[in-house]
Amino acid sequence: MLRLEGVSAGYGRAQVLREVSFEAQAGEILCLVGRNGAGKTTTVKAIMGLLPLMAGNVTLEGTVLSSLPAHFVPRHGIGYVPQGRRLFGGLTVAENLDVGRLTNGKDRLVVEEVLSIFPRLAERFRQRANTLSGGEQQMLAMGRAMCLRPKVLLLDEPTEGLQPSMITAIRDATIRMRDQGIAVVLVEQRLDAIVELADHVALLENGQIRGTLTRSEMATYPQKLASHLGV
Amino acid sequence: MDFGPYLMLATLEGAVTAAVLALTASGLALVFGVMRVVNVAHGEFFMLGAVLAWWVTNMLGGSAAFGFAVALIVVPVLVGFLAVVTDMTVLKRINYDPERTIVATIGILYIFQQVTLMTYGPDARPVVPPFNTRLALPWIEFVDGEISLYWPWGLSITSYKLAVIGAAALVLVGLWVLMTRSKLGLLMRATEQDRDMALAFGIPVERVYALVFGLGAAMAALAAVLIVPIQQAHYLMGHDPLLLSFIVVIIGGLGSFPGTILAALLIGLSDGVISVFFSPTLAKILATLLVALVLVFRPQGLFGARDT
Repeated sequence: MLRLEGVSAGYGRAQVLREVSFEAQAGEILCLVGRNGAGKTTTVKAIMGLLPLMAGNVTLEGTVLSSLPAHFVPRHGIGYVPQGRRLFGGLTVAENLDVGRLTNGKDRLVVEEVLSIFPRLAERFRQRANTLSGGEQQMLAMGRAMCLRPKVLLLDEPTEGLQPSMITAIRDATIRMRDQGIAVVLVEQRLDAIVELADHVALLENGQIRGTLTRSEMATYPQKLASHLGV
Repeated sequence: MDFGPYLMLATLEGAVTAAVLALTASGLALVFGVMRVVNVAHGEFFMLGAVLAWWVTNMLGGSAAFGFAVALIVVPVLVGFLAVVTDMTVLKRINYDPERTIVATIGILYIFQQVTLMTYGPDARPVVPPFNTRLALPWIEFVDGEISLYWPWGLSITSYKLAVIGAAALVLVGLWVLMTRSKLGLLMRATEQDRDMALAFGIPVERVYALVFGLGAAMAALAAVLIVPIQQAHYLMGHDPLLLSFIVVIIGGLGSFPGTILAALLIGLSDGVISVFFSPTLAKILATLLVALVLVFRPQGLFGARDT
């Protein structure tokens, strides 16, 4: 569904990604695993068109996304939950969800659906996003991306720094998205989350893909996975 | 004239300044807030508004009211369009880089100013107000322990000045409704908060920027059309509105719409009162001193938040 072919990208002249290729399938969770600085967030930004590609391309169901202006990428159905949430802090919960719905204007039901998945957001509906707790903000970041009715969902460390009950809510929502047939690309550092959620793992090191693991291979070679985690 | 009526007269004059200033400064604040561009050419959009208002009313001839009504609608649109073109040909090309846009808008300032000098000339030219009835205003006095009204000599305002205050208030309410209640306002506020995230949710940020730059310039032009029957159009008239708008935006707090309006009232009214009782120069000195104090003791402005 979402395919990266030989993607090289970076910041200014500093190249971070070197010929990264992988494919995320509908109804599966692909975990991007790598140490800090390996290029996980850069990969996600490159998919979103927020970084210019030096080489390669990103395609979604045959459409070359990387040749489009960045604001067309979400219109093709890519939902983004960035690291650190990056909500529109001065906007209310309702307005943040409305921004998520912009490319999807006629679909009014989607907000109801998000609120039923995260009832906490309904209680805070008219509150500014920057007054929410960390967990609530993460729910909103996820809900905002769900409002797009994405075909692909990019989650960049969605459970970082959250308390256990919030982590469960976010993981449940992630599984729910996968079960709806969405291709999920998950950047994750916690071994337990990867083992529980991932259908495939792509191992990233120094901006290059060092290998991929399926669910069964993860169980067979746990050390291989563990060696790519941590700082 | 007694002190009371004199103070009321000064306050009314200040209110006209405040109304026009609030419009001009809101345009500057909008551009800075959403685009992070310090538009040094903002005063020139004001000047172009006044000069074009003279040109439109002169071209049309006929009754003053008709010419002015046309200018009121056509001129902000023309200036807004010119600003959109400026955005797309200059600011977009330098990628809205904060430092380079300052230098670029200084260049734009001189281009607009000199082109106006070459075409319109160095003269200050008046625009006839559409209506200008002098309204005498009453004051209260105590006679034998009872309150009664009287009309002191010289305490009056023109109907046009009152209309300027009313029109400015109406436009500002309209802008506030646009920003807080409309889809377009949501796009602008989301872009203001986080440019990359706005892109990541499908907002055409560059189009929003062009629109905001045009809207900001149109606000300045509208303010100028309103004030030109009182002040006359001149190719150097953009300096004062630019300086005062910067003062207002810094005091009000960058990106705070209510702060900008309150600061415009504060600066406009104090400018009126101090100019009448002392001198216009003292009014400018005090306003600039206030900016210095705000920058030292409350750099985020009186109403701005530190972390937004």
